[in-house]
Amino acid sequence: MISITRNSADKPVKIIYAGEVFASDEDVYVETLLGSCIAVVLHDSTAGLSGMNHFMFPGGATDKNPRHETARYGSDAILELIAEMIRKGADRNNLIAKIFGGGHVLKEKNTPVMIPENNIRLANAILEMEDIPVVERNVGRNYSRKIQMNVKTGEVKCIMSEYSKNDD
Amino acid sequence: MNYIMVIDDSPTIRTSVAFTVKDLGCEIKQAENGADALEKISAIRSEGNDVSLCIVDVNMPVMDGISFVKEFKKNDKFTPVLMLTTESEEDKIKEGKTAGAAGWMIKPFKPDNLKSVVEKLMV
Amino acid sequence: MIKYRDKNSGRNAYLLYPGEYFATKEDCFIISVTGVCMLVCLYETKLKFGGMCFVIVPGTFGTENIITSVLAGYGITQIELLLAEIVKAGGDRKNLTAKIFGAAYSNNGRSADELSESQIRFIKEYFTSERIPVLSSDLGGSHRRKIYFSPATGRVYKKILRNNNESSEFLKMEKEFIDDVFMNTGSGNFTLFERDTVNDF
Ligand SMILES: [Mg+2]
Repeated sequence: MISITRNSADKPVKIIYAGEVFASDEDVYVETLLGSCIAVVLHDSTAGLSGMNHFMFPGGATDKNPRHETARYGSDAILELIAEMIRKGADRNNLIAKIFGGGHVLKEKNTPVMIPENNIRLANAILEMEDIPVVERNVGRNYSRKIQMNVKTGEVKCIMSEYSKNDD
Repeated sequence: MNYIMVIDDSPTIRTSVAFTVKDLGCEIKQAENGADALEKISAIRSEGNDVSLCIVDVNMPVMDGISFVKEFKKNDKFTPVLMLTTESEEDKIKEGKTAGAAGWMIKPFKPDNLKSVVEKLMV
Repeated sequence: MIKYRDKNSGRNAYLLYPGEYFATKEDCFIISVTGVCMLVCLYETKLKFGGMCFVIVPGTFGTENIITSVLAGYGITQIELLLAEIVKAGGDRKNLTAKIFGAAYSNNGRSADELSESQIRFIKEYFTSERIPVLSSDLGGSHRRKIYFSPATGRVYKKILRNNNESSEFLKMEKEFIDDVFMNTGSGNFTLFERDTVNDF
């Protein structure tokens, strides 16, 4: 994660990358860039807390995959985000979720076709299993996305840019 | 008297298979695994009767279907054995063929298919 | 199936998607969510291990019984796939006990419907016919159920899900599973081996 000051923004901006999990009640923006990856956003409006992860793969970490990389895997990344929200003081019953990303981004040449679809499916399935209502989705299609979350309000701005074959 | 042996560890499937082949001119004898079947077959033969066909599951406790075919085929090269199983992998099917099975059918069976295959094999 | 670490127990968890089945001797959790389909948990009481599978009879089978119904054959086969794994691991169906969940109403949970009733009748007839005792069941009703199964102990933990009714991913996957079962092309396929091969033996 890096912190930056952006002249166009009215508060500090933190940027998170693939494999990271963030939860806080600081008055900042949190941003991330998504291609086929997924970011799940959680928010507890009573506590004024929000969190975000950014994962790459639809599985969970297995014995082959080192533990420190677990948050790159969807199931671990989402469950870790929920745990982190609760550690920071969120009430599980107040949590709402938003899902972003999972674009079919042609530029990522090495991404198997099914990865974005499987990522979206996994995010939906884990949040459903944890019984957290998903109130917003901006997923799939051939878009890459830049999202900016307002930690205090849980509002998320999602800027989409389309990839066409010509971009390749 | 000729018998069709129906060998499966599932009572439901045994009943269902027996029901499907009951009108093909044979008595039906059920067995719940390979070892049970071998015993029943030798009892049938010691009474002067014979077995026309065996319909055999693969995954069964005590003695599985592949082991049954190998054992059965030691003394009887001619009575056909039809495997009826959920297993559909090429390697498993080859194993059955090598063991001496006459055919391989994948569950769930369609009654008409099973009947016609059984009729074909008993000719 | 998705494998991950269950943070509370420190054990591995295996999340099944509709249509999947899994049996293991590992001390872990097998987890899934069921709506209109059923989840069957089987436990081998002698060897102390078990497994879980999804079951759906893709339609209603009226007054037929499960022995003669071709539709019921699909449901039987889904359980057979799990049973095969248990038998391969040394288990015997004579030592099994069952717990069954699901078969919720499909018409947005408003009232009992034919599909739900058909599933319930199927699964009861099946376990009676198999002489496998059903230790507990929670069938019908209008909710999706989250099921945690501990294959090492046979215990089941259950939670009713309240949220995401409109956008349920599990209901969507169940629908895909039901369509798959309907379209099932492999079933009843057969190969007759060359006679020479038999004689060559
Ligand atoms: Mg069997």
